[in-house]
Amino acid sequence: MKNVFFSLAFMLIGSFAFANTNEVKPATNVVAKEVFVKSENTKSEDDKKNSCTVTVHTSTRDVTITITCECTTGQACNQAYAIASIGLN
Amino acid sequence: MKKKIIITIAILFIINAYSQNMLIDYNYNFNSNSFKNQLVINNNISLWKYNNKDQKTIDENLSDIFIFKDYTLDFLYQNEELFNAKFFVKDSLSKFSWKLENETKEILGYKCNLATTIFRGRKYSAFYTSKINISDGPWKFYGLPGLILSISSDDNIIQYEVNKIEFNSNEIIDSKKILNNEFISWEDFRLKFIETFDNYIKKIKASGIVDDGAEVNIKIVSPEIIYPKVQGGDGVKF
Repeated sequence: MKNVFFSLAFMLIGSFAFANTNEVKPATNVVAKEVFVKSENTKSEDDKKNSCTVTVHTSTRDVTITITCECTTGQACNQAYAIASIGLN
Repeated sequence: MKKKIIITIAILFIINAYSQNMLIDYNYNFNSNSFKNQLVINNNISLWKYNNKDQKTIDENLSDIFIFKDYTLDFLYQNEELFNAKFFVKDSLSKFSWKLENETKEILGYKCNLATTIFRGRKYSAFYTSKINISDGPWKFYGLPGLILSISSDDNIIQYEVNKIEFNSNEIIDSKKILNNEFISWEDFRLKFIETFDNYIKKIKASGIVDDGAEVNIKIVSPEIIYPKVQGGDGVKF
């Protein structure tokens, strides 16, 4: 009977010992990279202006930055991208 | 002698029963973008991470979010970023003030109860199940009498919904690797977040790239309201 108990005890201890053999590798080295995911060009109320929204999505995915530029027609998206780029350079 | 052996075995069985290694898949919607995240639980620590196996990243250089909870030391570790500024933040585990409600709902066959809380600017409704006796959940959430299977902010910006639960998982958290970073406090991060954004606005204004008469509007959406001027309402206009 005693031997059975000892065997059970060793099996349990053995199961703990083998529990930590695999390794997950969480990314801790953050790469300085963000992406533009969307740009929307909409007509402004002012005929001489266009409104363009650029969304920047950070690599941790928990932050989005929207930049809307109501700028000279034909320049709105370029300027919105340029404004976004300033934060990434 | 026999008694001692029986007591020893009983203790070992109890320890074994309470040792939990779980892997929980969640669908994560943030500001109209969908991701797949995972919660790895190893006894008194847990790791919230991006699930790289089930989805392609937007860019191969994209990094992973991690939120590491250490219930023994009462600390939470995470990575944060704003533009090109990267931060590793060490925060005390937030003491959520949960209000338990009567509403119930079934998720993955588990009866769940509703609880609500307010955390750093957002109100959340969570469904947890006491059938899984682990006080943890997605992202930073924990503190309910059971595992949180679903939680969403009342403004619908943030939604987490369980997809799969794996008991006795062999995923092990490499806490040493996480803790190998240099961490700053939450308060320091908050100040750096504000400073980083203010410097960004200064750079835009100094660059001269914005046409005269143009109107620029910048808004940041993130789970925690750190800089209300930028994150609330329509954001910053100039």
